[in-house]
Amino acid sequence: MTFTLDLHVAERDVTLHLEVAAGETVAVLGPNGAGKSTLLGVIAGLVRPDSGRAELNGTVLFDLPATGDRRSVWRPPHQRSVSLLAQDALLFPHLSVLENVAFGPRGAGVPASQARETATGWLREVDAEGLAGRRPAELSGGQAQRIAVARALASDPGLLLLDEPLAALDIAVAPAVRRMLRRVLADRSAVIVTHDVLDAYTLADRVVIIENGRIVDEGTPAEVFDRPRSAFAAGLAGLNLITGTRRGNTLVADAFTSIGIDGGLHGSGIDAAEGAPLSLAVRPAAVSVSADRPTDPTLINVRAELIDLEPRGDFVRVRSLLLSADVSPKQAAELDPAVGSPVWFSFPSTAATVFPSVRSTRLSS
Amino acid sequence: MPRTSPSGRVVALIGLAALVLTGCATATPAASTPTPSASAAALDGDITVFAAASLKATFTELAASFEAENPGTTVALNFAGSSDLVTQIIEGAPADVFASADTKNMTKLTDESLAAGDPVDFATNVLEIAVPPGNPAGIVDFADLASPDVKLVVCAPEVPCGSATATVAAAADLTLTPVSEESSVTDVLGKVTSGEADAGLVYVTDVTAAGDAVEGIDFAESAEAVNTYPIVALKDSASADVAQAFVDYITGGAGADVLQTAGFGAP
Amino acid sequence: MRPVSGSYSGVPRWVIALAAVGAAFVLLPLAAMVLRVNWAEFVPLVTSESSVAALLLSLRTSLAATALCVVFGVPMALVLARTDFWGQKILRSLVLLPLVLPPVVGGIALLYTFGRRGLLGQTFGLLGIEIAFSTTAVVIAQTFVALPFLVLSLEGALRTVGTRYEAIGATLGASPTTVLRRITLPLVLPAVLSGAVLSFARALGEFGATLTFAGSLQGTTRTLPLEIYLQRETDPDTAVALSLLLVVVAIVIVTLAHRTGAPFRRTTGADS
Repeated sequence: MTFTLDLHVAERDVTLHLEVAAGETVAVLGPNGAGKSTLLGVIAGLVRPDSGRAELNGTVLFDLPATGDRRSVWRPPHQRSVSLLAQDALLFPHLSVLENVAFGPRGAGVPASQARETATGWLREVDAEGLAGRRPAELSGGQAQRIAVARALASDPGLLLLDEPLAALDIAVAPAVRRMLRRVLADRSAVIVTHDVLDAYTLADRVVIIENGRIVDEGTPAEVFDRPRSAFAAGLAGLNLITGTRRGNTLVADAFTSIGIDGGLHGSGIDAAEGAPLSLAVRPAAVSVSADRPTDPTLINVRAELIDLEPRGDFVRVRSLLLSADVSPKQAAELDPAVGSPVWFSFPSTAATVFPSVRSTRLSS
Repeated sequence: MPRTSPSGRVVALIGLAALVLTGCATATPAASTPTPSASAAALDGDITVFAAASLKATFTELAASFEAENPGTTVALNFAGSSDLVTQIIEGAPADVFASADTKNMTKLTDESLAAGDPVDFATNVLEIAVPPGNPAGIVDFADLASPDVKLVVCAPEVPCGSATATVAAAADLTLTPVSEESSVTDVLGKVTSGEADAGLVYVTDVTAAGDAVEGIDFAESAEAVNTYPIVALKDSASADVAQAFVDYITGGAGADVLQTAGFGAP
Repeated sequence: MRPVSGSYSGVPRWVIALAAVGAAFVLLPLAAMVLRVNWAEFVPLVTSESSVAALLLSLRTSLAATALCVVFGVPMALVLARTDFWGQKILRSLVLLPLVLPPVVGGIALLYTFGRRGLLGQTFGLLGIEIAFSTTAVVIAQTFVALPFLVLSLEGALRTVGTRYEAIGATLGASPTTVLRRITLPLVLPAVLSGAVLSFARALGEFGATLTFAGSLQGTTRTLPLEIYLQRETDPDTAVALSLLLVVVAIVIVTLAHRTGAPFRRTTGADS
């Protein structure tokens, strides 16, 4: 294990346990205010938690016991071998691109010429060698972020922290920077905070979902997003998530809704024991909405109150508390008078997945 | 308007304090000749007196007693360096009386034809050595000031007390090496009272006014530079009678008493 | 009035009128002084022995005071802007006090500190160091009144720049000293320069504290303002000429401060 962390921040009600294996990239996702940035700040040494402990490659980064039975250890940021890459590139405006990248090695006492060589190597790595002589003010957002990546890597960190590195970038340049990140993160220990499922899929070996200062789910990107355990992850993955309990051949979601799971559904939840917590996931695009109950026997029908209609470009998302459906604008217009009334949400049983709500793999929190 | 200055004395008979003062005034030949025709008219008006900074204590006291004696009058006082005051008056400042610490600045005023009459000398002042309490440097006479071990502070030659200092030193054939040449007597005195300087050359009246803060040492050579204080009413005064009455009051017996108590010499 | 580069300028006319009165209020006295200058005698007046001595002394002491302001003011600004401790707000107010204090009060305070019988002066006296009536006293008085200018402008700049660059620098392995030297100081260099120029200007104009604390002796403690004050007694022409000289120096300094005060352009925000 390269990196282990336990931390507790009372003021922000954060209690987390995180491990990062050698060469592993862990994506941390969660709603705003869930404690993601606090997590990175603590690891980097910029935020001091109330208690906790972190170790990187055998070195204790901090050890702040909750009780006074051990001596506290708090390594300052510059002695941690942890680099932080923020949403903004934050290139030092008074230094050239090359000097920015060479900053880490220079600070570590590497001679100027050798530091420049290292920096040039990393600029090549991020496809920005030609920008070496420029000033940060002369760079585009994408270019600046590339340089920031090179700068972070040039200091040869034992752990790289990325705080939404693509969030501030133009949609047009983000994919190229993402590809570059995928390349340089391939065999590197890193923690990346992101809002983007695509980032998690392309960059991370493992995904951690944080809500309200706690880890609520973790697993491979496929596990977490195909069979989400949290409403937040389901929302990110663009899935409807219905959670409930197995009763006979049905998933009982609430007093009014039970869904038969014996008619052509697939997923590991089919074999779940009686009374086990069960989840069902279905894409909104597979769901249709109608005023009368459809007669097609292959459809699963759920009656729910239509809450609102949300235009999303060429389709409209129709919401209820349980399910959402993506319908055409024309059909949405027909449904408009029904807002506030119960309607039928239907989907083919083959489009849904049922799975146990509790993941068999280790859940840390 | 007739000059009604003697009428002040008539009105002053009402007051108890005025009784005494009037007694002094009548006993002093310097007081202006009474004008019987005006003796019944009470003085009435406000005046502003521009006086040299060294007159602050005495003029404040005298203005108060003047007002008490002449209930219809108020006297506003403005103290500053004589040259400042002359400049202000020439630039049009609303003054009714000017009392200068030297004849040079008074001449500037009369040259501009701003005086209502001829200035009258009303006091003199001479230099005295001021030392901090206890006289740490052991100064005894004027010659001691030339010692290199004595931190001496004097007025700059450009200002009246400084030119007096230069005159006295020249007469005594003494070369002074001051550590500082200040722009005003107040600054010299400040350096002595704070103990920064071992000795300073200021006027007798400054030493008297400073009380226990400094000790004064008289020296014979001071007679070489006697500073004369003239006073005059101004031509453009809106209350010319009050202004002249005040001038008479200062040059009269009441003024002399207060001035002499403060250490001034007779003109 | 022409608006700035064609963009909308919503300044009402009455504001412009008041601004004009304000500007006249500042400029008229200067103009009035210039009108009084005896131009025929100007050069001899400002090049007289005492004038030159006062000017050179002023420049020398003001430069020394500015150096002291930088040496002590930069650390003070850093501590005020970057650390958090009990009583910091009170300390900031006290440190900035010379800004609002009448200089003569500053002079009295300095007298009781560095004077012969002062808090430190007595100790210095035992060591054979005499500060009273020396050029050192002038520099001390000037530093006292000028220091807040540097601290104030630099502290503001430090807060504006923020700590994000410094945090990034630290995570790149740079020690606090390296971060200070290679990131913080270069970022706030314009503020250090403009603060230093302002301090220099304040030191050059220092009068009250010097008069009270240092004394007045040609070539040793009589700086330009003290010389003007003295000459005004007997030789108004010299006083006016020297005043004009001081005004010119002040204008040059204010211009310099304005030039150097321009902040760095930020990196972020540009998109491809």
